[in-house]
Amino acid sequence: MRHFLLKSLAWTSGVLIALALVLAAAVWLFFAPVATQPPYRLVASWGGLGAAPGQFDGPNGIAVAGHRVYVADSLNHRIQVFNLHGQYRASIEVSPQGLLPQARPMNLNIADGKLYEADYWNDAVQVFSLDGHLLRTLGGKTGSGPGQFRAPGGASAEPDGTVVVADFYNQRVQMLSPSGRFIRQIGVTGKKGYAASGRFNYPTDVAVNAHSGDFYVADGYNDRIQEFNAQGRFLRMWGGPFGLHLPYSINVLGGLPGWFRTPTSVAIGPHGDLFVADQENNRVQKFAADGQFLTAFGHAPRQPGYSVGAVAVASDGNVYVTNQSAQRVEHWVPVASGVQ
Amino acid sequence: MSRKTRHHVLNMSGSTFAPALLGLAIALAGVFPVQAVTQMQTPAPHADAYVVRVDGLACPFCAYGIEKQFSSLPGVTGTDVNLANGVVIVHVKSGARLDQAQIAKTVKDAGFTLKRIVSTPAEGK
Repeated sequence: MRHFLLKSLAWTSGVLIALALVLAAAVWLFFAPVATQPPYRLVASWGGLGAAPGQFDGPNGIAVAGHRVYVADSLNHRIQVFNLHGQYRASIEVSPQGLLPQARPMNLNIADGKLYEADYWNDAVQVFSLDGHLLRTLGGKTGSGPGQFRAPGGASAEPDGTVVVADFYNQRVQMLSPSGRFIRQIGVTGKKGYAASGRFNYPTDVAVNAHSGDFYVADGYNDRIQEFNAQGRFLRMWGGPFGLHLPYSINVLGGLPGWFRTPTSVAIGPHGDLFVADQENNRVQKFAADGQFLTAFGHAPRQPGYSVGAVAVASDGNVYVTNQSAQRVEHWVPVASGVQ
Repeated sequence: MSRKTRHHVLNMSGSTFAPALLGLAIALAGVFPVQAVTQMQTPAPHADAYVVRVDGLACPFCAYGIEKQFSSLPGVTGTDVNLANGVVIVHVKSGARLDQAQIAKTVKDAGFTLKRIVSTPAEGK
């Protein structure tokens, strides 16, 4: 009897393992896209931990405009400006808005020749000229009402000036007029959404197409990207099978190509491609505008933390990434093109 | 499967596939290892600080969020967050005290779950 039970158990286990392997192969075949472009190569980096000019303490946002690289140096409460080779040029102090004694700048984006900075601690979006002058502040009072924020993670603007904000703790994306008047929102305020499109689980950043106004949202803890048109209508989502995220699920497969583990930043390249900072996978992933996976690159962190925080793309296609664990900015180039 | 077809499949509306995917995820959980296993070391007690362990901390957004929530409590002078082991150290003014309910609510408001309070100022050195 005991022998029979053991034999049955072994047989059942074998069948289950074989089934799991078949399922794994099916997932790989159907849901793990193949890279169609070569990866990128790390050619330079700069920074290091500290508060002196050129050093960082929590580089959590980055943007490139022309020959300038802007880095949100979160724990130093400033945005630092460099040239494309990492030479320090200037610093923009991010002033507190009155709620807390310190600002905490997060993702940065460039739109219509202006720098958009999300201040996570002061619940504000600040708009600067590219030479660092504060043009206006949206929000600045914590809350869940229209036009208020609870820890905005990233903001940008459509070609007509409509401001789009990833409102992290409010679980929504807000669309506001240039002066901050509420237009509409996507998502349900304060309610996490998982499988459904147009719902969010801690959105971290937005990237707006400068021509069409369509925008992408890094849906952080849903491990996916959602795309909307300029009016906020859902277009598509991806990151795992159909972009679905199941409540309380463990993202054991998030390391597959085209899948994510906590996307924290998004940026659009000169040809409309989308670059995603896939933080917990320590990599940047590149997609065509319609979500087709193109390639991925990155490296393991050498210190505690993650080697990828935020991503930006220059007009020549070179990519700049904040390495949070090393407190540095990295410069990556497409392998085929070499150093430019 | 051609790349075009694969791309089409990847972008299909997926809500009807949820039950199948749930089963698939459960089956695959046994095949693919979870990426990282955190070293569970016990942090040293701090004078004038609460050391708490929190579930779900993953990124700087989490760290700054929990830091922001604790900063709003009276008596709190600063917060250190260690993402790698899920430990939050809440520094308080000498004599200031927080109770467990207050700490648990603050952690919850930041979007996380309090696992346990490892040490309090009274137990600190």
